[in-house]
Amino acid sequence: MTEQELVQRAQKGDEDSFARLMGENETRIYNLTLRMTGNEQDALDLAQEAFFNAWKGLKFFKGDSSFSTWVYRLATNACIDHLRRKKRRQDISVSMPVVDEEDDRPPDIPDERYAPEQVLERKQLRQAVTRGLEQLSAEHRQVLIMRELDGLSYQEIGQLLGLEAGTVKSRIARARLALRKILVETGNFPPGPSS
Amino acid sequence: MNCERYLDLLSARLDGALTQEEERELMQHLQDCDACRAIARELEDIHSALADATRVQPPKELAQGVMERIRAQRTARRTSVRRLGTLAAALVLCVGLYPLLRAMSPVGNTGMVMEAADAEAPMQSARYAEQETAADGALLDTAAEKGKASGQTQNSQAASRNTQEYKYACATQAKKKLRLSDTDGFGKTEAWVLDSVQAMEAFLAPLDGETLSEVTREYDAEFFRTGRLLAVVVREPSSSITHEVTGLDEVRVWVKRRVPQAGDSDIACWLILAEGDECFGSARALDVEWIQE
Ligand SMILES: [Zn+2]
Repeated sequence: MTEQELVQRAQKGDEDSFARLMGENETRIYNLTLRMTGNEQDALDLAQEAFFNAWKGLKFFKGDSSFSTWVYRLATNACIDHLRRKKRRQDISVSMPVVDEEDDRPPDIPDERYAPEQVLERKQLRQAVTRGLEQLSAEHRQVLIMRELDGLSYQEIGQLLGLEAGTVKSRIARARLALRKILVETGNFPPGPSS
Repeated sequence: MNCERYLDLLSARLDGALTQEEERELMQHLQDCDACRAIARELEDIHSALADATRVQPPKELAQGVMERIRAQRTARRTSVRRLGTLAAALVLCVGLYPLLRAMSPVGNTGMVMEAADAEAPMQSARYAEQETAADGALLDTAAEKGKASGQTQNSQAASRNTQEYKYACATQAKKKLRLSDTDGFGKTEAWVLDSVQAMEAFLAPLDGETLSEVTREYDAEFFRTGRLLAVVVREPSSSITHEVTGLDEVRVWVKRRVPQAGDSDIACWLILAEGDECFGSARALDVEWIQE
């Protein structure tokens, strides 16, 4: 069955068809939320939220994009909301006590400063890059995930985020440089003359 | 040497987005510039490290959890009548605590009822359009809507529609609803009772300056001496979905959600503001309890 057929059945309330649509998309969506949050529990919650929102919004889905693009967009929104909300809870709490701060623990970032090797094994570098990704701003992390992990074009990213392709291009450039800077600061790259 | 520009080109090169001209220019520069050459290597390392980042298999609970929620939602529709009973009880409690304050409020017990619908496509929500245009046709045109003029009309209409359900709600004197753009910095669903200028400004910080001052200039320290603001942010997969905030207690706010049979698939984000008195309690975040209609 094609995606379109599954969508049509799901729109009529067929839960099995929706489950199949989810099966086709869950790996990509989960990896997106995992990279965005760097936290398995949040990643699970947000991926579920994206799919549940897709189910609720299905009757409004007209197929002007593919289902997978649409869910991807819902998941992106859910991640950005989550990260902002976390930050806002901190900001607003300055003026009022909030009891539940459980999910505001700082991320557990291992100290990489003393990595002895200048040239890292592929695997080590990959781990360092993954950790570095978590330290980027949400905006930078988002475009890098979309571009590097999900292989989206400037154009596609622009459509998802409501940005000009040119803006996407320069944001990606800044994101890469920011990530490089983190790797220099954590001792994974040698400090260069321009860093 | 202006390396800045070449750094952008280095990134674009990784995406295969250079023109021949840019490519030539960049190569030329890399021959002359050690710093950029080093950065080029590092960016390539990052690029390939990200490219072989392994994909993680999602846990089984992901799909299971979603399907459970879908089934639960199906069952919940049948029991929503019972949940309204809980709401009424909660509102009685609220009034019970502050009966005098409510009695002194000029609006009396008209109930706190608000609706949000698509400001740009009123026709898609016929019921809403009818109600609002009857009160004040101009309301639908503005992003930051002032409900004061129409508030009482709408309130009393809504109240008479549902007298039994809402007569115990905390009184409100005015309300606003604002359509936010998709990228505004609010959470997907947020609800707060705000009890000071400071709390309000912190909460509304994501708004642009003009909208922000439009909201904040009405609520000064004097207002917050006895007044409270209830702010609810909702995001929906369609702007045709309407909302009605029906009441709150210590930890929750109840929002009735109406999903029309057909509508747009645009994502819509609303900020709904309601004024209240000490009945609303002190500043805190509230969980949103949905009442599906
Ligand atoms: Zn240079």
